[in-house]
Amino acid sequence: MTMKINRRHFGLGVAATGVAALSSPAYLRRAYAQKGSSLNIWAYDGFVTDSFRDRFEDETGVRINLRMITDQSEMFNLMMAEQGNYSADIVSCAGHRFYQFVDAGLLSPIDRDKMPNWDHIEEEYADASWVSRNGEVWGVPLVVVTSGLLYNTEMVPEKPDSWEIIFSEEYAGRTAYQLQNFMPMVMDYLGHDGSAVSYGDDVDAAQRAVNETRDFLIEHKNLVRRYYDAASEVQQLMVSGDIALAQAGSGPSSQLIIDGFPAGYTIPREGGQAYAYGFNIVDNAKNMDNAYHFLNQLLADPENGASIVRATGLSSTIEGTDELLTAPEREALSLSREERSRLSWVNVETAAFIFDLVDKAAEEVKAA
Amino acid sequence: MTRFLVYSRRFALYRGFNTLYMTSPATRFLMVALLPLVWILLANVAPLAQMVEISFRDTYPLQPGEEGSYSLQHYAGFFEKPLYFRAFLRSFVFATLVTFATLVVVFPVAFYISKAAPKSQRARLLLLVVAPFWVSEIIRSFAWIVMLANRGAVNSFFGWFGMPGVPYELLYNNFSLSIGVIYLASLYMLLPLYSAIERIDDNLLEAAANLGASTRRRITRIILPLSLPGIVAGCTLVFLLTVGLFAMPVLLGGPSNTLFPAIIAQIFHKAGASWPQGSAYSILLTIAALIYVGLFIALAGRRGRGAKP
Repeated sequence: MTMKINRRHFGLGVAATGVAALSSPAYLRRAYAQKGSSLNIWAYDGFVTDSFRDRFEDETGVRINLRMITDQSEMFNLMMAEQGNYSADIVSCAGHRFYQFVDAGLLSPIDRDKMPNWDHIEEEYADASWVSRNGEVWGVPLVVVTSGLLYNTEMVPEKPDSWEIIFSEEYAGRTAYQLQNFMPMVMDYLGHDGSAVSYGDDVDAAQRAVNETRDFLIEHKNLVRRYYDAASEVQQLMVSGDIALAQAGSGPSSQLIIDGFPAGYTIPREGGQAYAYGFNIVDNAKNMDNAYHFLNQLLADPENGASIVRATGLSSTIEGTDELLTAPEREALSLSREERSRLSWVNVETAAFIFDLVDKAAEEVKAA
Repeated sequence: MTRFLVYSRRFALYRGFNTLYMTSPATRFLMVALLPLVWILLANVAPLAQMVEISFRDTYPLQPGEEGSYSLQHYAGFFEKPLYFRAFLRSFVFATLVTFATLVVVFPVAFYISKAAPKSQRARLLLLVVAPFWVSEIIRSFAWIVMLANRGAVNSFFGWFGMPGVPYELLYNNFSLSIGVIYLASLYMLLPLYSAIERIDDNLLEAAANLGASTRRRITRIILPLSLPGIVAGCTLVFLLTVGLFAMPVLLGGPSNTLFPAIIAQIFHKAGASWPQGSAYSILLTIAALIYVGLFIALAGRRGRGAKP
């Protein structure tokens, strides 16, 4: 039997092939979903490394959908707007902000029985106040961050010892800071209490301190080159030679140092801050089992911690990670005993109170 | 197409639509406009309406079990805080200046392409000017960062010539912000101007020249008045684009020129129930921009009335 293909048949054939090709993402995805399920994670850049992600997906058949975040407040607002129907299974909360998520009912307490590898977390972090609230543990500690002074060693020949340098005329137009993060440290610099612990319930006293700090920053606005947001931005500002000094996190700072950029990082004598980031499971997460499986696998091997350190420049909370790092990596991450003593951990209980005031003041400094 | 229409006539559905279409003008309007109207309502009006609704709430997003109420507190708060008002005014002054600068920069380009360049080259030239706009705003902003940074192309160029005081601070100030925004907005000025100038009758310009009108007189008495519709359309588009611009000012601007949309974005990002405040400020910005542009169009319309040939 011979088959004659006329123009009409040919046209229909082409149209059918086109429709099939255009709809392929839908049925291919369905076929994948039948093989495995998915896990939706909101995380900062480098928290889920490509190597771990590929291995996890290969071993479990669970597909990881990763959404990058850059800001805790943004993440909080997005989750609040989802009104209980959360699109994420795992989110990355900062140690000093997780209480907001807990109090708003956005997180699920961690059931440690479902995580045999919980013991692989460094002891000092496993039960830290910044993952515990109301007698429950609400997250898996992942990385520890400090906030201090980053400087270009070629432009700033002597290691600075005070925040004063960032407000000096000598470096006018060559400084940058993250306004919200920097304000508590400026409060300390001006003789106030950036942690707000000493203010107790005296909101007026805290408000006065924040207002003075706000006015000081507005007065010195002409000296700063840039209020930056993302960690990668401060690296770009340093590399492009636009700034010589910045208030910065330990992550981008140590990454610059490891990459051989002439940079130094210190905690000035007025103090710096320390806090942590963890992975937290969302309340009623749609893929709860996958979330536990992911976190348990992450803690299983210190190599996972080492790869996070290399991707973020932050210290890992997974036991045994340090031994896998090279000597330059360890050096870039380390602080002297004196510098460590200048760090204050952001107080979880007072953080809510002070950050509300600081957020508002930061808006006003920008608008001025 | 004709073959398709002839083929379609075989189907009852088509015949049904055809009959319905011919019923009355109202039915015709509904059949043609229904889908676009639904699209505009869902994609444009509904989000704006929700933003208006949120702006009158005292708190949003709501915590589980929380019940909010309505108030004018966020609108009142704007006028009570001079700091916000300053950023608001800064945005309007900046947008006005940038609109004017864009007009000055783009007008000669539009005139050259539509009148001075050989006819065979015009489409090619237009394509050449439009081509960079196929790349996203963010990428073009980063291109400016690479150009204007202390170790960027411009400072390196000055350095090679041994100019004193290099590197110059070209980035994160009014200079970088204005250059970036003028570059971004120039297409929105170019197309209406090109369209208006192209329509000017060449005979008018030739006649004026033959009668001894100087170049300046031909520009002020013929070209500018007759390209007024293009100027108004271009300025309106550029102003509205600039006054609400967010990404480029955030990337190229500095601490001293934070524009109002960046403040609104920060309010939305703040953890807590700050969306009503951000919504109220957005609505105020929208209303003020529309009033400003409305006044401009009315003023230009009054001036343009006497300029018709």
